[in-house]
Amino acid sequence: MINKHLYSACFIFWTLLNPGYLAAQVVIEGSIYEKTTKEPLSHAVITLSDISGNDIVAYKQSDKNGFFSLQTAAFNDTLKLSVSLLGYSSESRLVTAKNQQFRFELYPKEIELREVYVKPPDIWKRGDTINYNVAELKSAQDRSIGDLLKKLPGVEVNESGGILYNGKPINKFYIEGLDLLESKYAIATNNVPVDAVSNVQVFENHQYVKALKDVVASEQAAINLKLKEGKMSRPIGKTKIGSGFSPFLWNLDLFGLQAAKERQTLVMYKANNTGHDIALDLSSHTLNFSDILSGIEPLPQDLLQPSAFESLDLAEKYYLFNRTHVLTLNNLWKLNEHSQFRVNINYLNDKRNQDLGQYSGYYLPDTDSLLSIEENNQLNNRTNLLETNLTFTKNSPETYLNNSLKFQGRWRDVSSDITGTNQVNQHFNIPLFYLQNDLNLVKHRGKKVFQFDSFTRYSTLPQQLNVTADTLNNPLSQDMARSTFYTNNKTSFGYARPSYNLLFDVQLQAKTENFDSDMNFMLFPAEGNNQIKTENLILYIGPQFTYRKDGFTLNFRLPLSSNNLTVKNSLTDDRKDYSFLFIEPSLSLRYKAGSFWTVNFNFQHKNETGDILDFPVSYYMTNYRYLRRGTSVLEKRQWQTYSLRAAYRNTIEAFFFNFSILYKTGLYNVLNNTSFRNGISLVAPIEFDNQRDNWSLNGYIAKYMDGIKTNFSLSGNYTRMKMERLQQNVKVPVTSQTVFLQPKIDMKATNRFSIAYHAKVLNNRTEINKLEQKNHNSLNQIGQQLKFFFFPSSRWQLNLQFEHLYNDITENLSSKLFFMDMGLAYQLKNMEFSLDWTNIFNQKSYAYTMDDGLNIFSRNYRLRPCSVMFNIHFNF
Amino acid sequence: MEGDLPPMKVSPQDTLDFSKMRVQYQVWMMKDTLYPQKLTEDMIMLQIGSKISKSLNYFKMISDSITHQQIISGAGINEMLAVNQGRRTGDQSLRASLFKNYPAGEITTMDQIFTDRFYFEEDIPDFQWKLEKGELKVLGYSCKKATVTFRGRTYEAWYAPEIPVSDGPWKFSGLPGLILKVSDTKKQYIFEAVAISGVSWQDPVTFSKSSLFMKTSRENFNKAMKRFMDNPAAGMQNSDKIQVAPESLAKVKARPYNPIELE
Repeated sequence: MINKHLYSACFIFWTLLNPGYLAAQVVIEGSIYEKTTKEPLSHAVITLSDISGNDIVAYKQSDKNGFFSLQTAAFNDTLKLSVSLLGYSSESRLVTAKNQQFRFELYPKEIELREVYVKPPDIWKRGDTINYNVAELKSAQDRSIGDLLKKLPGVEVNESGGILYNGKPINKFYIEGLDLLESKYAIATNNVPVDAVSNVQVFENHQYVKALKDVVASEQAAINLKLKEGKMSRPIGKTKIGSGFSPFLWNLDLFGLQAAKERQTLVMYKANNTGHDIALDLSSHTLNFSDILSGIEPLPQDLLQPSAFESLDLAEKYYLFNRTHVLTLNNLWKLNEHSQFRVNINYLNDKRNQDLGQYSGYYLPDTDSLLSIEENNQLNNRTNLLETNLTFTKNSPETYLNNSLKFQGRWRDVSSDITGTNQVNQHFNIPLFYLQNDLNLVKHRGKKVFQFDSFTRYSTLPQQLNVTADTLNNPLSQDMARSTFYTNNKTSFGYARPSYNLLFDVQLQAKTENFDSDMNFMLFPAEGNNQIKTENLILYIGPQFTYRKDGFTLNFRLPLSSNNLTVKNSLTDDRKDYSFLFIEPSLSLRYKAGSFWTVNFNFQHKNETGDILDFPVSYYMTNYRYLRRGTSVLEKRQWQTYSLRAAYRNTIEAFFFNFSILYKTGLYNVLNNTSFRNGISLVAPIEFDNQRDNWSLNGYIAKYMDGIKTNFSLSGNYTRMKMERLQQNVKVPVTSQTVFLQPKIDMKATNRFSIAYHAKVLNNRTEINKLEQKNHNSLNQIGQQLKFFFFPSSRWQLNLQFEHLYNDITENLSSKLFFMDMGLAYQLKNMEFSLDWTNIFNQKSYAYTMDDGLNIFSRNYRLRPCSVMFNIHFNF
Repeated sequence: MEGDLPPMKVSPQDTLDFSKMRVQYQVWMMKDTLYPQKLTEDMIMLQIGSKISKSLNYFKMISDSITHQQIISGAGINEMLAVNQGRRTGDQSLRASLFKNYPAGEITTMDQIFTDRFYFEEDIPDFQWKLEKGELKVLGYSCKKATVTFRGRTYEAWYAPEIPVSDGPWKFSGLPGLILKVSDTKKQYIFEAVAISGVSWQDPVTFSKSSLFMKTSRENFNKAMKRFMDNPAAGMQNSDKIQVAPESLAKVKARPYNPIELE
């Protein structure tokens, strides 16, 4: 007793001296076991509290051996030591302040919880839908919905309005759940005013074919726009109107959309003469890799080549002289829960002029001399294009049926006035018409899926060329036509297991073609007429095996095709029958090595054959300076491609790197020979086995520096091509090498200010054997761009752009250009004013030179003059 | 011609434990300190097993389980349109999955930045809880108060001694009872239990082994996330498939960033 009092007294004295530390510690230890199995129990909660349990003095959890140790200051009263564990009985003992050990044995017991449920939110069955509230994300600068989409995580909008989500193109763009514009959705991204939209929804992994939902996973996303309630009952839209000089510049955009849930109408009209290519708004975006792989043949190319309107390595606003009108009408009716009908009509009226000086230097290896042609070319292009598309879609959980009937008529006239060595006027009439039907059917019953695709197209190109020249006594005229009927019918089936699958594609393709050409004038003693007909039947079976394990993917294809071709020449009554069996194996390996590395290897063997244009034995003109013919020998090309790519991505350190190497080698059975007569190129193939080799190295390295908020990147590319050429019947081996470097620095100092510096350096080097001597030629092109963007307030925007271009024209001559542009914009709630000052230094022409080893082509284009443009945009 | 259905792609999963109970927490976050009145909502689910607990985004869990069990939803686009205001807004909501005591004594966090997925491990934090006076009823459970300062924020937590589980939402743990409500003193992060249930079925606590997740550390992850929020387009332009024009880059604004861990 005395002892205990003394102890207490000492304790009190000690605590007075050391108020922050209670010296006398009590250690309570113990172990907790399961009652029957005697297994230790971890994660039990041990508390030391007053007898009521309200004041907790100390607590602990038992460790994996069921052991616990509580240390606490000495206490006077009797306390309660409780042990509890979810799913077990609890126990408690009374303890006094002394070091002691306990053993607890708990027995399993029903968990007693007062359960509280909430109704699961509606999202339960919805898949991966991400909803964005537009009002939350919108800022003053945003005009069209595309401006806002750019800000959503994972979304990228490219220059022409195409949308990528997590790096992959989206597969559908809906407005109020309906797919009004299909692949031409850029019309909506660029034009739907942001104010009309209440929500943007991203459907991740969107499988739009309901019959394939939960059957075939999709890696692509879809985007849906939900309009504001009040904006559904009346048309919404925006207009832009602008004017400027010089010359007189104008620009008008009208856009209207009425989007109800049962019927939608979209009308757009755009017109300008400011060098802005609005035909881009009509371009397709959802064409992806699988469409290309599905094997649909592209449309035949134009027979006549006016050799003009190539796009330059320069912004269009500097060189495009245009007057363009675009009108698009889109209507969609929802017929019932699963079906809809859509009509899309597009009309384009486009007038373009181009003024260029052209120099062509052709090397004549037989005489080791150069044929030089220098002339000026004034080109006028007029295009009228009408496209209508009628689409019926049924999309129910059992059946997906999509039938699209499309007609396109393009009327294109090009006149080209050539002055220089000769005075020539060429008139090209280059229409193109086609009618196509595309049917996709998916049936899903029980555990089986049946797919069938049928594509049929008839196209015709009745094209005409008229030439008058000071060297010709009579005008020269040529009629040419190529018409093609093509059908591709495909079904596929497969067998799949978690780690591998086996798929078969079966395709039946049929094609008949006619080619006629008729020249009224015999330029050379050769037949001026051709009449060829081909019939082609292809049966294709494409087995495909895919194996996946951890980070490793293997894909092996072994397509087998039987190809039967009949060629008839109606003029000579000549008939040729060909029959081939092609085996085209391909292998692709992908390995994700560790966290940051990905390695790919690909091999492909490919057989290609020429087409009807291999058979016309008489010359036909593609333009005044080019005459072509075939030789009645079907061209056969055999390609092998090997590629290896390694990529390193470290987002944590913001360091990126990739490198790839590609080797492609081809064997050809014919080679085109170019010979010259009176300055005209005559191109005709000669049967002769030859080989072409391509090497290509690519690299990319990038680092983002946090401290200066700047991204540095450098991409590089080296290609080397080796082939044989025939000119004037002399065989010349040509090697050409290209080095391309592209450094970029992007600094985004603040939200109000950013700078970008991008440069391009290109060196092209060709090497040929000229009379046993090696001859080199090297050309450089350098471009540099510096852009500044200022946002002094949320209403104002100012940008400045400088561009410097250097192009080698000849060994001693080069072209240097310096551009400066300025833009100023001011925004109000539903209005925006903008002022653009383009080509401030009034640069007058752009020149460059191309060298293909044998021939040199220099071009000098007239540029648009310095201009000032004022625009007003408003939304309604 | 017909064939067997190819299976949907499912990443391999490990079952770490079976849950004994599930707790659903509503989360309110102030994403942008410039707009303190605007709180973003989210929902997380805590699965408590006998050794390991998993805290994950509720909406992610549902979409994952849909993919996993191949529930045939039949939900069409028009039904999807009826979806309520989404809480899964991706960029800053708590969409990480946390595994407490996996590996033993540590927490594994799985999260992503733009398209890149990461995981990192850290020791289970030694929360220096101060038990305080005070009582609050949450879902009918009487809760006691405790406070702690953790990585730059001071929190007030309410735990239910009646539920003998030393766990809670996010990284919180270490109290003599389940934490049913916790918020920081500035009210920028608030977690509150809205549903509690026992588990009468086999409810596995799963862990995705996908090799798509790269290992990193908490510090490096937070640094990279801050970089991405400051300059989202810079991250995108290096993803080698995407070309970002300087015009677009200039217009992409820094995103508001108010992370739960300030240090």
